[in-house]
Amino acid sequence: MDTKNINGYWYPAGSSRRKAATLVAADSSYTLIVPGLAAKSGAVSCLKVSQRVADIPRRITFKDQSVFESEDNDAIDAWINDKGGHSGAAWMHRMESRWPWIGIALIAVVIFIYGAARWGLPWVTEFAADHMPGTVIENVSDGSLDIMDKVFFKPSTLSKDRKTALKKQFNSVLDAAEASKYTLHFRSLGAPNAMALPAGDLVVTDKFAEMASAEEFNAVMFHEIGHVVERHGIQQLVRSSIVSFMIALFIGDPTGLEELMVGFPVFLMQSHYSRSDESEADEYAFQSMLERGMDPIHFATIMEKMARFDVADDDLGLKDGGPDQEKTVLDYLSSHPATVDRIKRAKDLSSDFRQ
Amino acid sequence: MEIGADLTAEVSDRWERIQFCGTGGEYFKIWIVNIFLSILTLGIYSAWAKVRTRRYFYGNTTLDGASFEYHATPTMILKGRLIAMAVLLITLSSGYIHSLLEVVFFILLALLAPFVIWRALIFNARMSSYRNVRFGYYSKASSFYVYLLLLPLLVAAAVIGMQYFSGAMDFGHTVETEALPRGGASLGVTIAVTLLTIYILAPYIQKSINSLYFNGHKYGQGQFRARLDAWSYYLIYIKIIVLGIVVSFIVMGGFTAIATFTGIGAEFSSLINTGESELPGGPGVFFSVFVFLPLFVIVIWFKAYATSRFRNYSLSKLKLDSTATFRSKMSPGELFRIQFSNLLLLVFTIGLAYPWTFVRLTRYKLQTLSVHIYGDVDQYVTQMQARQSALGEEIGEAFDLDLDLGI
Repeated sequence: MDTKNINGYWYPAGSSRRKAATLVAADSSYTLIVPGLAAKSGAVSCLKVSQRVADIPRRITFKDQSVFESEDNDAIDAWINDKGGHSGAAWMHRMESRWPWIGIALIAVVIFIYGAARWGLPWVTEFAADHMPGTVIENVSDGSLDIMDKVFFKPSTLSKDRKTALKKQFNSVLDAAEASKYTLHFRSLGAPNAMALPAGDLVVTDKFAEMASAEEFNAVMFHEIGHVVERHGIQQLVRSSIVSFMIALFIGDPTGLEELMVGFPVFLMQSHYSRSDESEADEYAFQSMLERGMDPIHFATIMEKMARFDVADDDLGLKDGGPDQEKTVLDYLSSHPATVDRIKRAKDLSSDFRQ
Repeated sequence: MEIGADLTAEVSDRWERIQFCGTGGEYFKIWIVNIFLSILTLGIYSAWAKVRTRRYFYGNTTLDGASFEYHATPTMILKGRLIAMAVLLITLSSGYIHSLLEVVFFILLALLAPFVIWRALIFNARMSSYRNVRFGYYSKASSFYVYLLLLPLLVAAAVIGMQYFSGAMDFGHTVETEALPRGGASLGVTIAVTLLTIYILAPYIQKSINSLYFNGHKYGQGQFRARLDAWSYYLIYIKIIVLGIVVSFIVMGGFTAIATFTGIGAEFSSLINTGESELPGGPGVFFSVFVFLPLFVIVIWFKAYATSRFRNYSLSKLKLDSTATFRSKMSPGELFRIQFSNLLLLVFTIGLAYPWTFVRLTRYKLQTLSVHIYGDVDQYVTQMQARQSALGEEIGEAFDLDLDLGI
């Protein structure tokens, strides 16, 4: 076989003193020619060649730890691979430089990520939420209530008697086990609202307590209990942690800008999931009401009352705009299914109930 | 050209720019194959992926006709990652045995963090070379504890103390057991004091961390030196704060103008007055477009401004023996332009443009850096050193904890 000249630089062992050099590559041996130094020869099998990555310079290390560095990757590959491959796993570079492989990798990665988001994430989330220790859930609940007290809520202005009465009538529709699990909290806020914390704390606002009849109050409470039973809060927490973590891992730098960037997709996804959470909680409420012989119509009436409050205050213009706005992009951002649909569902069940 | 009498004939006094010749397309191929194989091997390949990525970026960075090289082997990285994973698993699962145990483990982990960062610096320096000579990092672990743990803890303690103080005052006024802070003035005072505490110490901490980073590094037997002056950091911070005030006035002005003009203002004020806790449809979109996005852009700009200023300053003070000095000419506007367009690219390609964005940013960071070589670059020799302790340096790499230099 002919010899081939590979041009590059030579460095003595561990030294920065570099000299232009030529490696004469023969069949199974080499000769290194460095101007001003005696030529060195040896067997190819004694060389250590760095793995190829794209077109970065290759390092060929000799027995004496001196180094020959060259950008002539193709010549080195042709030479070394001929000799049975001392350049280590050349397949990595081969994969990285062939379009079919890159295409397969791209498609596989996209499918994998889609599948993981579509099926993997819900499964893991549910599993983790079901196995979450009770102490953790309690800590999370207490922590969130503390924060919301600082940020949103003001102390309730309802009288003690009114609170006790509401608690009493609510407990009367629950069985003993349920009654011990759920605790009512009263807070003041500009709007009628109710929410559930994962450990079973149900928070209602004064405005809500004032506008709801006893039946309506209980209907909404069953909806909130639905969130607790289905572990929606904990699932949301687990889900957003996983997604933030995965994106950080994917992007590679969890500090700084990316952190902000992660926020938006997580927010989008959460609102998507919370819509189905709301439907589930609704169904739970309807089920509980029917079992206890309560008319689901109360759910519809309180929803209507709350929606009317919104309209009267004209602050949620886009939220409950009726069927026309159903199919807009904005709908995706809404955390609740269209109120009209929920009211209709309650009314349908109610007419079944009355028959 | 002035050459000292004791220098050899080879030495010339010159400015060299750092060049980066990687391309987005080339990196994309490596990146996507890396992700693919990492998924297929349940993450094991990620160690190989890391080495290949590092080698690609180091190998494409050239100075004075020679490139950098990264020498860590995938097995070193894998070993470190397995240990790190075991540590994390033990920590997380310890909560199931006893909840207090988990707390203890987390505190231990926090105590370990400065040590791990210190180890990572040593590892990364030793695994990097230029012109066949390895870098090194020599500094005491104790300094890392002072600047990464002790001082930030003092700041945190001051902040918590302040909150406790103002909180206690609030609770004094409330009657019910469901006591709630009344918000308002004292909250404002708390925030002001908190910010003040942080901003008074932050420039000093950042200066110290930068100094710790630069002055600990060696190239062969050569020693890097950077005499950083805390006052310069304070000045940059002051400029940022003044700029911040000016910008927020402009933004508020513009916002008010738009709001009154389009009638959105009315909706905004009603939103604030009713204090709706959930932010569904309308307000959600509203906040994204008119509050979140402008804020986001401003934050990116300020980060770019700070990064470029700190980078230019600290690198201008950097020296290697009597061989080289450095100069960085990064412009805040250009950095912002790159980071902002990168962000848009990432959003619109659902992350697939990452290799292009990363190459673009890396190229800009490197190519604004030039080196004044006025000494003998041939004189350097890799320093041999004793094998590190049993825990190894690899562990440092595995946790992926970086020293945040802010540059």
